[in-house]
Amino acid sequence: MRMKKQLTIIFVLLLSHHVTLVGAQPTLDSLPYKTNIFIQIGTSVNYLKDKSFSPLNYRSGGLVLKTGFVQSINRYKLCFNLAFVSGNLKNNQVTSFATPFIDGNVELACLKEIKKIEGRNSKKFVGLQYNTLIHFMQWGDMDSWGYLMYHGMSAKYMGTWRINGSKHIQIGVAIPLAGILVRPPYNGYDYFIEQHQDNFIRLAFRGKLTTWNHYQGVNCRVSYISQMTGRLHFMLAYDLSYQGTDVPQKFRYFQNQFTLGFNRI
Amino acid sequence: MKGTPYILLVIMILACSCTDILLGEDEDNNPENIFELFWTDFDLHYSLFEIRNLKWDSIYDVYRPQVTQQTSSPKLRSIFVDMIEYLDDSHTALYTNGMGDYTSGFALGEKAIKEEFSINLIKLNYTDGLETVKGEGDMAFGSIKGKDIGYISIRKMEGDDPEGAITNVLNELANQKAIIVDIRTNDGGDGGYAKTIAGAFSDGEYFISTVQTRNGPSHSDFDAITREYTQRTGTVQYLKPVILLTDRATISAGDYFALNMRAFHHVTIIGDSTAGDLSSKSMRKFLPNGWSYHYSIQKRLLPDGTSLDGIGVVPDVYVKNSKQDIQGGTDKVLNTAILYLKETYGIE
Repeated sequence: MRMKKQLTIIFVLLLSHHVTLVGAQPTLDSLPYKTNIFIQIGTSVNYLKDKSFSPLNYRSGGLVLKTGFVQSINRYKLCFNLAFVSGNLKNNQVTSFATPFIDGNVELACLKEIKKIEGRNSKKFVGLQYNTLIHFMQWGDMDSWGYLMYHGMSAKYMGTWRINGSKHIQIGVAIPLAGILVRPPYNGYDYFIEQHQDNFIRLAFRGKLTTWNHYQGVNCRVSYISQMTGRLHFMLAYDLSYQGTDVPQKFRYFQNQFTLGFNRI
Repeated sequence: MKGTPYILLVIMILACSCTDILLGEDEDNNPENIFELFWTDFDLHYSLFEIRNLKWDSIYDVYRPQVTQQTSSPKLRSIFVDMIEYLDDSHTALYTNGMGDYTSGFALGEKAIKEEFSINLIKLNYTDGLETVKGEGDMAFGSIKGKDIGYISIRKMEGDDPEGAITNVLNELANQKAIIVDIRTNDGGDGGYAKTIAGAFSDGEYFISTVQTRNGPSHSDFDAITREYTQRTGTVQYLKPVILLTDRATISAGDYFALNMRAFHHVTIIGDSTAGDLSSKSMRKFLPNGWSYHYSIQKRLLPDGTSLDGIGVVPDVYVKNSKQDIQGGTDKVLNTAILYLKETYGIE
């Protein structure tokens, strides 16, 4: 309940901040810059194998919360996304190994429109994205845990297709290029963790610079956006993401997220 | 480009339908596969094969032929128990979902807990009661009846504020001429907690051990050596005579506490050897039949390169209680400590 209240406050603050910035506007398309704020809630269905945690395959479900903004300046877009997922991992064979998990993702992308053609119903953007991704699970009172964190740069593509005057589809794809991959040590635990177990920052950045050779990922998003009023849009989105590494042992994580929310321009 | 959204949608739908390809098949829940997972996981991660000259391959040769697709769960449990008992390592344990958990090499520890120690006996016969320290796992203190000797019992190395707790306790016992610190049946916890408590008795910073964690598939793969030193906790340390009481049920962080304390010149250890489980244990590991287990993943060596794993911290004065002692209302170990303080320091 407390988190709900905090999120509502953050959303209201973001909206009021936007109103202060933009003020009363004439026609939206005529503006040189626009701010687009969104908030979404939904569900997540995931599949995991992390051999540093367990040899078993896990399926998970959880609550998804997302918020962020897109700042458009002429042909550029600055996108900021914040996502949080919390739920339970389960193995199909062994119910007693149910495990709570949390996922977090922070993205900051700078995109440029390519091949602007007046009158076309589609727009396409490419650019770079920084993201910090956290996946953490624990079983019992820290009797067992597993994690993957990635802080790195991705190549990103985003396209928007207008279906009719008030509806459009947006698709985004991001592929990691290079970053710091943080995984448990070979045995899941070592002296460094023992000494720094209360220092999350030290542990969260204890990784190695990694490229596609050791960490493979992709994140795809399809959103259906429909205008409700002059500034308010309804969003329905599906996110699919995959992360895989064999450092230090096999890790495969496949996420499906279904969210709905609102988008205010 | 018009078809781009539809192509991406099709790719996403296809990806959704092939999770088995991405993750791989789940592990089979049959006795042979469970045995292979169990044996292999130890082979790839357990840390004390070389230091204790253990032949894990021979365990495979002996027990693998005994497991078939038809092996019953009780039989498989019995095989696993025999396999881990060979390691004689209390950090190695098997949890079998209602069929009885089993800790390797813990027979003496179990006997010590059941028959050779009673905190109630100490409360009733040796002290005027013990005051529990709030917020700490299991810490209590008081004074020995009719003597200028303080008594501290620590039966878990866990708590919210070890420095604050031990500082307060030592302030309360400041007028005593000596302190008996009793860690018998201490079942471990946090090594950092143990080190902090021990630091309140520190008369110096001594090199006590090296520690390495296994980090590869070979039995000899370990990460870089870290040297460990005793520390000083708080601004003032307790430097009057201290007796530390130990037994075979003093485990893990309890072992480590004793390792720290034995470095100090004013500390004498009385009792039985500690359990000898000085390396950190692994996270809980899982099997497809719902069983789980853990094992040692480090080696902690003395500065001369020898290991106390399986041996324990050996007391300066060896003495242990029998079942009859405890049933008769006598704690021979505590009596020996009191007598030692009288004979060595003239404290009574």
